[in-house]
Amino acid sequence: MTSKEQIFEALRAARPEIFEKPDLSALKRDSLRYEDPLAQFCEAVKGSGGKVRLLRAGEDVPSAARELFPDAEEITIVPGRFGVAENGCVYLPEPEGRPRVDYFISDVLVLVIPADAIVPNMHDAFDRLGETPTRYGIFISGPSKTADIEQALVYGAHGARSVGVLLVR
Amino acid sequence: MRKIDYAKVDWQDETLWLVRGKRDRLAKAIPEWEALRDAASRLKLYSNSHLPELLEQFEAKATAAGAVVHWAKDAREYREIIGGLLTGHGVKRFVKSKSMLSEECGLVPYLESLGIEAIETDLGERIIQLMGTSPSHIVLPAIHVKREEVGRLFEKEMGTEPGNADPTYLTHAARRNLREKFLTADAGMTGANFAVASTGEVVVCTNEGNADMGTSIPKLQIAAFGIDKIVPDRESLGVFTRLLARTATGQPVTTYTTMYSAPREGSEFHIVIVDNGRSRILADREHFRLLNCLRCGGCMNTCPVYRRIGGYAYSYFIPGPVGINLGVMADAKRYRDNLSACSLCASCSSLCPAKVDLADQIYKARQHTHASAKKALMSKGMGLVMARPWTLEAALCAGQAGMKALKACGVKWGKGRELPDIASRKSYKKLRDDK
Ligand code: SF4
Repeated sequence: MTSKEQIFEALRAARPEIFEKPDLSALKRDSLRYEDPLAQFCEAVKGSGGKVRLLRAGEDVPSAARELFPDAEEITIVPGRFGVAENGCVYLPEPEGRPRVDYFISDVLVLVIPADAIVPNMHDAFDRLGETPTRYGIFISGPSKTADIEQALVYGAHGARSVGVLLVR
Repeated sequence: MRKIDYAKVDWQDETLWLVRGKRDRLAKAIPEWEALRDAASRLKLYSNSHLPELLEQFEAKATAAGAVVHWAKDAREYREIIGGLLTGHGVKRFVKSKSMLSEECGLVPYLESLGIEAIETDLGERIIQLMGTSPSHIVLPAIHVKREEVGRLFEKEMGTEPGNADPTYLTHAARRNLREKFLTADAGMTGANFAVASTGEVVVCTNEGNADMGTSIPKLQIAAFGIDKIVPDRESLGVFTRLLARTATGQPVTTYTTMYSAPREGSEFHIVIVDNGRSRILADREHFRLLNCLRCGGCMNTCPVYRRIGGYAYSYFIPGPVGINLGVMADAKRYRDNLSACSLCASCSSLCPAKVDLADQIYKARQHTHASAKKALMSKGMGLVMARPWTLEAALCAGQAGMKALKACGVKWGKGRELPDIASRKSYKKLRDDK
C-alpha cells in the first residue's frame, strides 16, 4: 500500500460524524458594507502602514509615485486588479513579463488599481476571483512588517519597506 | 531551582493581553463576527468529515497546475520526502518560513544531519534558532525574549553595535543578514494556512514577506502541511481570511496572503501532505474538533494561565489550550501533566475563531486521566472535586464568584479574565451546554 492509500484507509476507518457544507449566502449578503468604500479603503491602506491617493487629472503614474516617495532611490510600479475596503488589500495576479520576486524585493512598491475597483470585503474579493484555478495570486496590504522583538511594530522586515497605492479614475 | 523573573512574567502577561485587546476591538467592529466564527467552524467540520474527496480533488487540481504532490503518513516520511527532494536537487542552503508542522516532525535537525544548512527566516523563528531553543508561542515564537537579549545575540551573530537593542535597528540588521541568504538559497519551503480543494492552491498568510522571498528566488519550492489544512473552495477563504489575522495578532489581515498553484517559470513546486496522527484525532469522538484549529494562537493570548507561565512551562511543543489537547492526543501518558495548566475559565473556547471546544476537551480529558493522574497532578481536595463533576460545577460557581470579588477589588489575575462577566449570567455548565 502506498502512503496515500494508508492515509485514506485511516481516514475512512475514522468514521467521523458527517457534517454538511454550510450555505454562506446569508452571511455574505449581510456582511459589512461601507457607505463610501473608496474612503474606507484609503483608511485601511493607511492603517496597514501604506500610502494612498487618487491620480489627479492629467497626472501620470510615475510622477505620482515619485510624489508619494520623493526620497526613494528606486520605485517598482506594478498593476493590481482590485482593492478590498475592509482591510486595504490589493489583489495582484501572476506578474506579466517580470518575476514574482519584484513584488517583494524592492524597497518601495507602488500598486496601481482603478479607483472604481474596490470591493467591500474578502467575501466579495473571493467571489470576484471565482473558483477557476490561477497560476498564482496575492493580496498585499501595506509594507512588510514584524513585531517579533517585544511586539514593537517595525516596517521593512523582508519585503518592501514602503508601499503606496495609486487609484486611477 | 530557577528563580521566577516576575517582571518578565508581568510583561508577557500584559503584552499578550494587549494583543487580545486589539482582537476584541476588531471583532467588535464587524457585526457578523459571530456568524463568521460559526461559518468557519461548520466549514472545517464539513472539510474534515469529507477529507478523502477533498484531498483527491486538491491533488488533481494541483497536479494539473504543474505541482508534484507527495503523501507522508508520519513524521519520518515527511522528513525523508523533504530530505530526498533537497539532496536530489543538490541543495546546500535551504530557507524556510514558519511552520509548526516542521517543529512537530523535527525537520531542521534532520536536514542538518544530512549536511544541509536549514535557515529559519521568520524573524522570531530566526532569533529562536540562533539561541538554540524552540518557539514558546505558535504565532509569536520569541514572545518570551527581551530586546536586550536579541541585541546581545545579534551582536554575536551579525556584528550589530554593542548595546544597541532598538527593535527597528535589530530588525533591519536581520533583514540585511537574511537577504543574502535568500539570494543564495537553493530551495525554499513554507507550510500552509489553507489548501484549497477547488483550485489546488496553497495559501500562505504572513506579515514579514520571508515566505514570499523564499519561494520567489530558488528553483525549488516546497509546501508541506497537514491534511486538516484542506478547505473546500475560495468562497470559504473569504470566511477564514476575515477571522485569522484579526484573532491572531489583532490586524485586519496579514500583509501577504499568497495563493500558490503553478511553479514559477523554470522551477519546480512540490507539495507534501501529512497525516502524522491527524486521522487518529478524526476518529476520536471527544477531540475531533481539534482539527478545526487554524493555528491562530488566539487561545494562548487569552489564556490567563498561558499568559503568565509562558510556552516553556508546557511539556508539549504546542503550548496553551490547544497544545494541552494536542499533547493528550499525541501521547496521553507523556503529556497529561499539561492538563493541570488550565483554570477551566473557557475564555479560549469563547474566543476560538473555529469554535474548537478547548475547555470541554480539557475537562473530559481530566476525567479520563483522573485515576492515574490524581497523584501527580492534584491536591487531595482537587481530586475529590474531579471525581464528582457536580462538585466541580459547585466549585466553579464559587470560584467564579470569588473571581468577581477579586476583580472588584482590583486584583490583577482577575483583571484579564473573560469568564467572570459571563459567569454572572450563566453557570459553567449552562455555558458548556449552550455551545
Ligand atoms: S484552537 Fe482556536 S484559538 Fe487556539 S490556535 Fe486553534 S484556531 Fe486559534
